[in-house]
Amino acid sequence: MTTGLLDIILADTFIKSDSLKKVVVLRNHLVKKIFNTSIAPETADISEDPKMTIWVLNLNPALFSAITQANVYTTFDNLESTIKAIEPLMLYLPYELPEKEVTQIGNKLRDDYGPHFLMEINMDPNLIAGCAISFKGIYKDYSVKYRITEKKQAILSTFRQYVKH
Amino acid sequence: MPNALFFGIIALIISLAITVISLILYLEQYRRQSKEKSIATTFETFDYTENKSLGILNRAIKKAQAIIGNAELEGIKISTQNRMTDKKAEQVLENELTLAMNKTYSEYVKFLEGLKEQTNQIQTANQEVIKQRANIIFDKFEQNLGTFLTSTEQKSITSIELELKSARQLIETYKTQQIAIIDENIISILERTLTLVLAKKIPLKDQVDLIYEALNQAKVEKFVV
Repeated sequence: MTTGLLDIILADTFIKSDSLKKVVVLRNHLVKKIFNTSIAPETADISEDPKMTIWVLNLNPALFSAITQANVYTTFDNLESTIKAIEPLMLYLPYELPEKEVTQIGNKLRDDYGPHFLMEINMDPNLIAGCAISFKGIYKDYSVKYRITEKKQAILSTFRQYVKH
Repeated sequence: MPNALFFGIIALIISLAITVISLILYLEQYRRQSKEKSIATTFETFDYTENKSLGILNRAIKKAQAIIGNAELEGIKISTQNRMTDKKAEQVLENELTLAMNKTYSEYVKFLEGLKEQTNQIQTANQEVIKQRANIIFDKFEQNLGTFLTSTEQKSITSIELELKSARQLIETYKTQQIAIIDENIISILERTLTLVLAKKIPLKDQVDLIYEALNQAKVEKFVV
């Protein structure tokens, strides 16, 4: 059941923190639904984020038929711990990417490393362009800034030649 | 010698005086004895004896006076002789003294001349020795001065070279540091310029392509395991 829920949550979510938020929202929604059967939960109670609300409302209720009062908390706890156990790829970008590009990058990563691969995006304007990545505590810089630092002497010699002439 | 004679004469005079006095005393004693023995005897015998005694006494006195006179004469003679002898002796002594003085003086003059000559010789020898020593000292001084000047020159040159070397090193270090600072400035200006320009000029597609390029490189390097 956890795997099924994991697939549902990670279906179009590539960022680990977003995945955990989805788990929380979905749990809250299902808890309200399971324990308050007489009252239908209002749309406004699902999430402050309208996209999250739309996502929850668009989910097929049949997918959660196996979740009962007895196992709702344990199911979502297991789901949460499974997601937390996933080591994300830290991606450092000099600017914020639109959602579409984030999805493209997420899909590429899942194609390369598995269907449950997650990432986290951080901002670092000093990188100028390109990105830097960090995985399991190891950092690697592939940005333009790093390339400038690498080619510093060549750049300086070119600059000096330019100044001479 | 004259003093012994004089004392002899004095002794003689004194002995004569003593003889006369003893004679007088003896006669006086005899007279008393005669008187005591026989006062009763006759005044003639007493007068005779008295006159005889007086005559003897007079003669003794005269003899004593003559002796005294002779002694005085002798004394005067002896003293005169002594004076003459003294004068002669004085003259002889004076002559001898003069001779001795002259001799001594001449010997002293000779001695002084000899001493003077010796002194001159010694002085000459000392001057030579001093001259030689002075020459040796000057030679040594010249050598030492030359050595000292040479070593001082070497030390000065060495220290100046060291100073120059350290100054050059300092300049080089400063130059290197300044060039490094300038290089850093150039790079940071370049980075800042690229940050400002690329953020506006690079299209999204190119930016995403750079990210894909980085992810592909990471995959090739097997960065994500």
